[in-house]
Amino acid sequence: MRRWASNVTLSHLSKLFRQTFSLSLGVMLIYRQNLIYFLFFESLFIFSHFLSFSIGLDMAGGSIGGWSRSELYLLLSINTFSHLIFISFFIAPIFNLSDHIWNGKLDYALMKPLPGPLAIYFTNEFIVSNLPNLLVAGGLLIHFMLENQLASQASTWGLVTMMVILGLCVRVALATFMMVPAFFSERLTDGEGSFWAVSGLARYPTSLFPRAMEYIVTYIIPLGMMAAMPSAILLEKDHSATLIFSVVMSVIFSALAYASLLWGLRNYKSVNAGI
Amino acid sequence: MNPTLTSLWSAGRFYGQCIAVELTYRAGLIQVFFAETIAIFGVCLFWLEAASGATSTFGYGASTLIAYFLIISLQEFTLVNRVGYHLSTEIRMGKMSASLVRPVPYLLLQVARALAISTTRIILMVPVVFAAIYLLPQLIAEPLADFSDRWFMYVLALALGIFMDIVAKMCLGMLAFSMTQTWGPELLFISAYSTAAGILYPVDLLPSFWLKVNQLLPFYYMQGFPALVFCGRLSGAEFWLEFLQGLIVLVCAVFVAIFMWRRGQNKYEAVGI
Repeated sequence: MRRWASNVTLSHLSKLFRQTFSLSLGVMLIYRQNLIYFLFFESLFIFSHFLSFSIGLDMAGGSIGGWSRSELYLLLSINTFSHLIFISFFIAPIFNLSDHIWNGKLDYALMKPLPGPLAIYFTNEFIVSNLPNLLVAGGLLIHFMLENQLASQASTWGLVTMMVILGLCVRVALATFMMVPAFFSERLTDGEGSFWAVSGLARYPTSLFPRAMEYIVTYIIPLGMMAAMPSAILLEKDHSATLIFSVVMSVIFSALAYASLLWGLRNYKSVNAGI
Repeated sequence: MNPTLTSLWSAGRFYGQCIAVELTYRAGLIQVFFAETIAIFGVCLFWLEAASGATSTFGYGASTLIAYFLIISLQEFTLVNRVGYHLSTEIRMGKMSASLVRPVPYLLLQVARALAISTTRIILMVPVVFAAIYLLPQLIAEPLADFSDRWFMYVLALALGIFMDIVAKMCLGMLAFSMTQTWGPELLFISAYSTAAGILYPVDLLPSFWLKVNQLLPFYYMQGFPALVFCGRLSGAEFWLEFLQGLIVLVCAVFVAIFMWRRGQNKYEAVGI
C-alpha cells in the first residue's frame, strides 16, 4: 500500500526541484553536443513557423483575418515561449509515462514518499539543453511586445506572466489527457503524436476558425489560452469577459487533467503484481 | 534456390509479419490520425484566410490549398516509419549482431519493416481518402478535375518520396555507429524537414532561389513534390525534369547510406558476442 507523505512542503519541493535540475545539468554536460543540436533544432523549428507565417502574410498582402504581421508574430512568440517552458520542464515526465508504465519504472517512482503525480514528475529529467532556446524565445517575446508597443506598463507584464502560466497549465493538461490512456491500454501509447498535432492549433488566432470551433478551442479545450487569447487581450482584440471565462475554463480543464491522472494512478496495477 | 530470391522471399514474409503486428496497434494509429487531421485543419484555415484576402494568390485558390494540405496530411501520416529509430536502437543495443548472422541482408529487413509500417497506415487511410473525396467533391473538385491524367505521376512521386524518406532516415540511424546518442541529428533532421518539406506552407511559394536550393535536398521530394503533383501544380515536362532530379538526389542518398553502412560495419563491435 503506498503511503503518501502528508507533510510535503514547499521547501521539500524546492529542494527536489534543485536536485532534479542539477542531475539533469550533469547529464547535459556529459552529452554537451546535444546543447548545440537542441539550439539548432529549436531555432530552425521556430524559424520554420515564422517562415510559414511570413509566406502567408506575403500572399495575403500583409494581414490575415485582421491580424497584422507584427501581431501574428507576437502570437507566435508567446506560443513559442510557452512551448519551450513545456519542453524544458514537463516533456520528459509526461511523455515517458507510457514507457515507465510498461517497463515497471513507474513502480519505483511510486515508492517515493510523494503524491503520485509529484513522484512521476521528479523521477524524470529536465531537458536543460533547451534552456538557451528558452532565452531566445524570451528575447523574441520581448522584441514583439516592444514592436507592438505593449511593454511600457508593469500591469501588461503581469497580465502576460499570468496568461503564459495558465497557457502552460493548459498545455500540460492537454499532454496529460493524451497520455492517461496508457494506463488502460498498451495499444494507446502514442499520445505524444496526438498532443503535438492538436497543440499545433495553438499558434493560430482563434478568430480564423469557424464559430463552433472557435468556441471549442476557447471555452471547452482552451487551446486559445496557450497563445491566441493572451495575444488578443494584449492587443485589445478581445473582451475581458472572454478572458475571465477562458481563465475559468483553463483552470477547470487543468483540474480535470489532474483528476484523470489520479484516476489512472488508482487503476494502475504494478507491473510486478503477483510476483 | 537463388539466394537473392530467397532473401526477397524472406523479406516479403517479414514485411507481412510486420503489417500483422502494426495492425494490432490500429487503435493508437487512428487516435494519432484524428489528431493530425485536426492539426491540418488549422493549417488549412490559416492558408484559406491568407488566400481569401490576397490580390495575387500565385495560382492557389481555396480548393487547391485544401487539396494540398489534405494530401500533405495523408502523406505525413504515411511516412512515419521509424526506420531511423529502429536502426539506431538495434545498433546501440547489440540486436544488430543477431540480425547480421541471418542469411537475409539486414538493411533489406529494415526497408521491409519501414514499408510495412507505411503500408499499415495506407490501409487505415484508404477509407478516409474515399470518404473525403466522396463527401468533399465540391471543395477539391478543381485540382482533381484532370487527376485521371496524372495519377501515374503521383504514384511515381509518392514512391520516390517514400524511398527518399527511408534512405534519409536510415542514414540518420547509421549515425549510431559513431554516436552514443542520435537524438541531436534526429531533431535537426525533423526541424530541417519542417522548414523545407512544404508541410507548413505550399513549397512552391518559396522564392525561386530557395526553391532551387530546396530541390537539391531530400526533404522536398518527401512531401512537397508529390503534393504539387497531386494538386496539378506540376505536370508534363516539368514533372519529369523534377522527377529525374529527385532520382539523382535519391541515388546520392543511397551512396551516402552505403558508405555509412560499410564504414559502420568496420567500426562495429558486436555487443554481447
